[in-house]
Amino acid sequence: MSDLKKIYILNFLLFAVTSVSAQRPSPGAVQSKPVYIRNATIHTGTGTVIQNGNIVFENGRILSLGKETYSGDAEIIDGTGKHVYPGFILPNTVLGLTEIDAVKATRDFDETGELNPEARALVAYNTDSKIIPTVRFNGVLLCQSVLRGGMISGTSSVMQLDAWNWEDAAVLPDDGVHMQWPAVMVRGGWWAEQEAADRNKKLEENLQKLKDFFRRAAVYDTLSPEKDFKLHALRRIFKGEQRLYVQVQGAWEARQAVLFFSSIGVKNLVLKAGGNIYEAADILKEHRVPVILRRTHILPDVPDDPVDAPYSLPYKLYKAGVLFCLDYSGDMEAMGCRNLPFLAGTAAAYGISPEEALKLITLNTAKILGIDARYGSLEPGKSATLFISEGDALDMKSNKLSHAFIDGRALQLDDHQAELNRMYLQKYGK
Amino acid sequence: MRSFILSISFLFVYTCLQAQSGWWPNGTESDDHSVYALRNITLVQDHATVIENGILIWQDGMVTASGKDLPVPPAAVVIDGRGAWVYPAFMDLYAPGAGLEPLKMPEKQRGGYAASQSTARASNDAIRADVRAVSVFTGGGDAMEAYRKLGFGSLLSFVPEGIISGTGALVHTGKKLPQKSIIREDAAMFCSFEKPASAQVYPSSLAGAIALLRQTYLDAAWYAKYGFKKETNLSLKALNDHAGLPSLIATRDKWDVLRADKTGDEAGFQYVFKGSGTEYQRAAEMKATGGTFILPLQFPAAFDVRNPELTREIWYSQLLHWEMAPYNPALLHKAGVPFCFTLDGLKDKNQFYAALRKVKKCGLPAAEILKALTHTPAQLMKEDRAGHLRKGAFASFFIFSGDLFRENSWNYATIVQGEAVFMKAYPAPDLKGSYRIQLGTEKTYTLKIEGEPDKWNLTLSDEAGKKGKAQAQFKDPLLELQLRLPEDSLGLFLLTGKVDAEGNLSGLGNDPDGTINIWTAVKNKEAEKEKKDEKEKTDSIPPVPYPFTAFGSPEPLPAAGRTLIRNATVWTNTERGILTNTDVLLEDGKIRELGTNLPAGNARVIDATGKHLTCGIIDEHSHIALSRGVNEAGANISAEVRMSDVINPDDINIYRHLAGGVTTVQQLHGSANPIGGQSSFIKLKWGRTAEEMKLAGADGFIKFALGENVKQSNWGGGRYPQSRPGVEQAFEYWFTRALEYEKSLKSDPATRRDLRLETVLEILRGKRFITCHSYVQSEINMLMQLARRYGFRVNTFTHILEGYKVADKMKEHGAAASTFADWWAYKMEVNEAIPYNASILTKVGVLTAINSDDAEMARRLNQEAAKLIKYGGLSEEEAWKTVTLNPARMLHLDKRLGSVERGKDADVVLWSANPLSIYARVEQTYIEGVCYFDRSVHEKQQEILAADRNRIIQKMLNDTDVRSGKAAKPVKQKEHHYHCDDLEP
Repeated sequence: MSDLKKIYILNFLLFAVTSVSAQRPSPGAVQSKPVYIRNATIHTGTGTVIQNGNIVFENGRILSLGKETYSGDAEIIDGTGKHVYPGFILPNTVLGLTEIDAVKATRDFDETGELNPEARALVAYNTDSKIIPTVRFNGVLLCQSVLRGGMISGTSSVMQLDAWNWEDAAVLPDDGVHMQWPAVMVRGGWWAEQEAADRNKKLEENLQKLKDFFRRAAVYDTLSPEKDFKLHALRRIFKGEQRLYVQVQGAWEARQAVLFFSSIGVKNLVLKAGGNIYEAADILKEHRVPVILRRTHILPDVPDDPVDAPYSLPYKLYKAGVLFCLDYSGDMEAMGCRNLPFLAGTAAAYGISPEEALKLITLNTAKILGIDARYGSLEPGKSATLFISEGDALDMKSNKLSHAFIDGRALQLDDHQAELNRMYLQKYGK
Repeated sequence: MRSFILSISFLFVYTCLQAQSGWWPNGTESDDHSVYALRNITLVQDHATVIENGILIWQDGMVTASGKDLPVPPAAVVIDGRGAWVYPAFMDLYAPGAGLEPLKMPEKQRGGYAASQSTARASNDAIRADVRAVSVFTGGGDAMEAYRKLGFGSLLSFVPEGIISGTGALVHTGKKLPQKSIIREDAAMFCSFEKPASAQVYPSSLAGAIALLRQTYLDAAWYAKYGFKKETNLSLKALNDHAGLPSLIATRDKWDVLRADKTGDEAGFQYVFKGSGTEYQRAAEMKATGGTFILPLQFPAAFDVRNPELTREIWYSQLLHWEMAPYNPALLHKAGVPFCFTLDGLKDKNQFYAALRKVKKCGLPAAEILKALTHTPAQLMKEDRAGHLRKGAFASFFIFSGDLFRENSWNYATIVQGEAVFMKAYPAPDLKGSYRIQLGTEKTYTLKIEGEPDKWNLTLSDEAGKKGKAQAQFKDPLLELQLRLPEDSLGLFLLTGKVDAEGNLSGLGNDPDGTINIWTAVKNKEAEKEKKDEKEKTDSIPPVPYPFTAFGSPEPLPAAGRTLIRNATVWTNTERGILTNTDVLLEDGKIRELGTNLPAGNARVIDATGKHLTCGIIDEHSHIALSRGVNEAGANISAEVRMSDVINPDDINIYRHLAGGVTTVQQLHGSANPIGGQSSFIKLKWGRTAEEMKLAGADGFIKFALGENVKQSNWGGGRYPQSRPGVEQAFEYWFTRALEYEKSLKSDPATRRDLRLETVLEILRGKRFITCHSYVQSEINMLMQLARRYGFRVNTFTHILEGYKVADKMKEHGAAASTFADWWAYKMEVNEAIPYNASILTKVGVLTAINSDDAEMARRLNQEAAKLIKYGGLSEEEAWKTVTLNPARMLHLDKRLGSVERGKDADVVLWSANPLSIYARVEQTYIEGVCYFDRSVHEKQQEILAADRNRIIQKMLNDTDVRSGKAAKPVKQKEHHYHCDDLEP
């Protein structure tokens, strides 16, 4: 039997085994043995690269990282010619909360009503979503699962993407409350026929409603005779234990929001923004407010914007010295969020160095979400949440994962799509 | 100046004296047969003839003589009009609903997909050619009053509901009985692209409206020849009966004009266009239509631009249009376009004269303005009794206090058919200015008058600057002033007086001691004069960018010429593969040569060292650059609809696509219908017109669709079909009808030409090719089987996300696949979509392309192609072909496009790196040898744009509305009149 045939049979068996589980690969087992990745290009996520570097992790934590070799008993992975990255982090996503966009029964991210701070994404997060494995496939290993809709949408949680259930998946449960700041201008039309913006006719009314609500929340007395669910849900914001994530349309709204929330004592404010947010860099820096930049693979806001305004937006914010990271929010975001790495790639194509661009989906995100003590970079003592790619993982043509680990647990990188691929290639004899 | 006023008042004969043959009066009234002579006037006999000291004579509603030094008939009633200007009454050929009984339209309903007429009209409710405005004309209503007030003597009134809304009546604006007011019962046929309130959904789009018009004109021709024998159709009959009348069509923008013109050309007539005020943006093309325009006088309002962070939301095209719209008439005149004006659309009708003065200030001569309101509309109506005041004309005119183009002149009276139908008392004059007032004695004082008419603020001071007191009131026709002299705090001077033509004041006054003296106040002319000079200047006309948006250019586009791109890495898409260090010569729009060290000659040389050169990307599935709807959702089959009718060359997405290396797109109809509309192919020649962008000689394609969208799964509906089995039957039904139609065409010359069936037949006969929106394998099989049964081939399945499941069958059928790289999970039918789809199809041998169906992703189709390397392991060259050569082949364009080789179109893109890399950026994009995108130019354009935006914003900040905070908040354009003086600081 030729070697080629052996490989074929081996592959076939492997496929036969995995096809049983590929609908939903079973979560990886707790790390039982140290893993030693040798001679790889290690992108640390802190802005540095270690060429021909080695990395060892044990019990889910990184033991060592650098040029020194490891002689202990370990599972050895040859990383020659390959790249190691910290697991990418997807903030501000409905991943796990929706399955098929058009089917209402599968959507769990939008509660009725305007003010829903008490609603929790955590309890609806579906670890069995068929979408999640396809996202891991490209290196995204952590996400912030977020509710949408209304003025205050609800409470998010940071999750890891390989778990039996949401309790196991939770990395930072109930990490923050997400809300929308009313936009001054409402844009019209759709991409085929963009229309000029119009004044938001409910602006004053909604701003007032929102401000009143938060002013009441700031002085909410837990001893009040009747528990107010909505005000109660904001207590941890004012104690500084939870972050407040505020979606703003542009720089003008950003200024309004930052000034208002700082005036009522909100300590951990994060803006979710795009457009001309860099024009508010001064106030963001002054108040130390970081930004989650909304998907940059979008059209410019207005015809007058440079053709690649969204692509070069990260560079503008970077130059302005604001702490920020990238998300994939927008249309069809759950299925599309596997493209998060390529947003960082685009940032690198438009002015930022590749390692700084990498931070936008790793360490910066971890800092902004408050999980940087454990995640976001490859450093000794931090969680072994990382992956190995055949090539540059920020470029679609070379983003090919061979291994991935969350807290040291080895992931099955298979998914139902890869399984269908195999099934039909086999049908056609290819 | 006002000496005519008292003597002319008696013309205000109230119109109770109307007699009509066969009517018996109650009392003893008679008609007025007197001869009238209005003399000592400045007579504007017609737009080009102004007669000083003229005389106008009329009787029985008609001018009997006019001119200079004419004998006054002995029995004439003579009126002295000293100082007045007399103009022929204006005409308005676009007066929707004026003087008509209010119209009762059916309530708008959803879900009417079949013909709903209960009377013998056209099958579509929007075709209302048989409606006659004259049948509901009463001459009453407030609208008529506004026309009279502004000097309009006749207008063309019509019922404004319908794509063909029926005939308009040419009527006098006077107060005579309707029987005496109608000049012509059916004077023009009115059309639009706007569906009326109707129970029918079709047409829901602009493309559908055009298709309906086109079919209707064919139907009318058929009806005249054969149809009338078979059926009675009042709408078609009316169209034929009125075939000789002018057809007026309302347009929303300049592109609508070209769309309408094409439709008219096809049907063999010339439309008159009701314009939108944007015509100046394409003046040469407007001229080329050969049509006459009816232009609005409403100019855009200023925006509130005081908050720079919000001003960002205002588009340059909006800013520039605000600045340029008042130049529209002048620019069209310069281009030789004939036009009239209409009052329609002017929100505040009182701004009419101000608008005319603004138009004059913007460079259109006064005579041309008058012509557009008199001569041109009269000619268009072939009505030689209107539009002038020579013998034989209607005695319809208006009397102005002076030259109507001068500020502060006003319409004193409008006379229609010899009857005064409007008169206005003398308004308080504008007295603003500084005067030297003399009160009988030697001593003079300075009188300063400020403020609005009759709300004056007066300051009286002596030479030493010591102040007295003064106030004034207007008591028509005189002025009253009360003065207290600076040196005399006791008594008051009480003056009365008048204003003369020079603006000086004079009269008689009582001194405090009771003596009566003459007083004069002479206006300080120096300051005045300077101001006047400034006003008389016409503004210079700013240049127009093409297209009229950001990143357009006022410069003409360069010719293709010769360009030599040196030393590039060339992705040929041929058996030569990827060539390094290669020169490519572009000449006269074609790729002339590939090689090394090619001689440059006179070519423009581009150094492409380190760069990659490819052919342009072709997007098989695009919806950009289309106007007002990509779906005609009013019918489940809309094969007659053509996307080529609704191309929008101003869409900024064209330019953005160029920046992503896209040079050609198939503009597809949407996926609402099993059989959608016909595709259009354009090259993205930014700055050119729709006709110039069209890819000549391309095969005809049409959109088909299956699955959730056509069965309306994800929104409400009630339209057939609601299931996949119904979809199959919808096809079968129309295929069958088309074959029957073919037979009928052969055997019966009286067969009505049906553009829908004709198009379906083209498909069945292999003359038109399908791009079918499809997802799941069952429906893909269904259509292929159906096609086999009817003897044709499905050219392309688009989206085709389950194509991998039937790849072998598709290959056998010969169908191509145009798909997404990694989309899925957005609806039920894409739940089994996989990113390996394209690579499996490719491996099985199906011609496969990656398309966008999205204006954003289209700019990154190179990256989408690169995903096929990641998912499925295609080679770089294979991946690259999925966005270039493969779509060219499936669109039958590969003879011209899709590879870099000798003789093909010079549609090439220069990339900063391997085009499949995320790091690649487009540096330059050429179409047929012309560089339409250049990154370095784009950077310069941004600076120019920022500067010009700022220039206009600064100008806008001086607008009175902005200063007073009354301007439209950013941003949606709220139409309102732009004041004549707004630009003055």
